[in-house]
Amino acid sequence: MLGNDIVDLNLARVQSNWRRNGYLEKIFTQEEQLLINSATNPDLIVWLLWSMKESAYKIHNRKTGIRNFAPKSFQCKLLYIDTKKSFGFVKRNELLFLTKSEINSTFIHTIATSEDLIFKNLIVKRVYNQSNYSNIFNLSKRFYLAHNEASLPEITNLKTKTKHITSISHHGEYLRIVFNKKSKTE
Amino acid sequence: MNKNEIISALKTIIQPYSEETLALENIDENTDFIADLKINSANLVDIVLDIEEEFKIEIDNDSMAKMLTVKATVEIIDSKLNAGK
Repeated sequence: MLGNDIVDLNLARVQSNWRRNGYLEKIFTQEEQLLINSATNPDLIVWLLWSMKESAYKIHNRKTGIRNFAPKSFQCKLLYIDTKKSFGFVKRNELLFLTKSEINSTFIHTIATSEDLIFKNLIVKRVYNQSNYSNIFNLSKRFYLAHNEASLPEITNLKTKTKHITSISHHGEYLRIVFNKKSKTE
Repeated sequence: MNKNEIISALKTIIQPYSEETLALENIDENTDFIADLKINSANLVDIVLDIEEEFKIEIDNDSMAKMLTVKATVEIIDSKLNAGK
């Protein structure tokens, strides 16, 4: 399974004031708050952890059909971080989601996976966030993006006719289409 | 405070976080914060905090988890307001 989440940092800055009294406590565990408060760039850690939780939630929601708002129940662990990337995992009860994040001065993009899916098989398409993004993506002639019966995005390889698990995220200026190179049956 | 009064107070709280003016104008029990009002999930926390301040109640994590629709939110506010009586 696959989930992804992008945060436009310039938009996040004006959209959310995480320094507001009580805000962090509603979203982050004690351990995560400690990580934020001891960071040299707390803004970055707030949105990195948030994107990890959101991308893991997207998988959880697809797997279980549960729709809720319980960010604190998704517990993040950072295994590695530098100025450009981060790796870690998110735990929710007995479920574990591996995460890989791209870090930049203007955005943070996290991909979460579970089970058989591996990062090196994923293709990430960067598209400017606009309403006709699927038309633009579909100009490629090789892959076709549409929403299936369950309203979930799905990519079809037009050559092999195979279906590929897909996740889409957008915020502010950014939009990312992530899909598995391997087809659902492979 | 009756249900309609809660919804009307809720509308004022939500207004800064939604650009969907038409959906906001027609807000009712069936309105969904994300699907209809296109509220950014990071702002759901602001709404929960604003509700706590406005109604002087405390919203626990289990209650917050359900607050994706007007209906669920009104029920939670109503039960918390009555719990103190």
